[in-house]
Amino acid sequence: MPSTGLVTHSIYVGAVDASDAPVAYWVVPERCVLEDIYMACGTTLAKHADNYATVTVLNLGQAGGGSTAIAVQDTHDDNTAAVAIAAGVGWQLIKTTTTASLELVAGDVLKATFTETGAATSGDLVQVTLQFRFRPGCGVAYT
Amino acid sequence: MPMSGLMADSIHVGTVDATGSPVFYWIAPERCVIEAIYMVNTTGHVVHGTNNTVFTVTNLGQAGAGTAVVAAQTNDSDVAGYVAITALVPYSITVAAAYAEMVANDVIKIVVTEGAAAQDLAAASFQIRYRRGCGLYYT
Repeated sequence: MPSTGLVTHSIYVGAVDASDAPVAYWVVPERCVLEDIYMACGTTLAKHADNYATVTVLNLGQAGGGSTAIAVQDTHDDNTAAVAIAAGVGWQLIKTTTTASLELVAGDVLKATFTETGAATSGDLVQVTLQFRFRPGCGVAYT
Repeated sequence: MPMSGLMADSIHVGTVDATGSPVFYWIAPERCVIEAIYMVNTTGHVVHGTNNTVFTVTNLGQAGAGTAVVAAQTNDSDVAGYVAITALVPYSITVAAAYAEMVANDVIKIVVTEGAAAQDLAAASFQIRYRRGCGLYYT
């Protein structure tokens, strides 16, 4: 079954105190291929070599024990793929290059974790919304 | 490109203390036309000339600097088109057709303000309804 039109689910996370490594969960509603994960927030964070924010998304599977990497992004200046966070601008997480990991089944739980490195508050964010974009159906890993 | 079936994305924001003019964001996932924006919560607020709530939805664009007002609504009796907020009844935030056309990664900013104290909301959710593709302004 090929993937179909893009479907979007957004989660309001609110204030993030990254010192506590807060998490947000999203439950996959049906078999699908994850196309993108974006964040929008009201905070601007420049890239920095020592003080930076990281957002990591793992697939816990249906039983909660999984740890498959799905996507990650940070503001670490030493990371060539890093992108600064700008208030009111969509911030794209970088998906895993293992495309099979982006094939999700109903009931998979994705866990987004917000962390920081360096000084306290270097990963704090306000008014955070995460957005998961997916296409129902399956792709290359389920041909 | 014609518009397609209706899509909906709901964001549960919980308690809204309008005193602080809280802000909520939504990202347009692809080119689309916003058809409606609704809010639902568990607190009612009657129409009033002073003690009122205002919802303003602005398109910040892709760079965060946009100011186009996509939708607005209030229960301010001094404003044409006002509507009281009723608990557990969907509250339509009126969409301006001229600014309803989105491109991928436009960021929508929802701001809730109040004319006087105690206009807070509880267990609030916003729902953005849109159709993929484009409409009148991209023919």
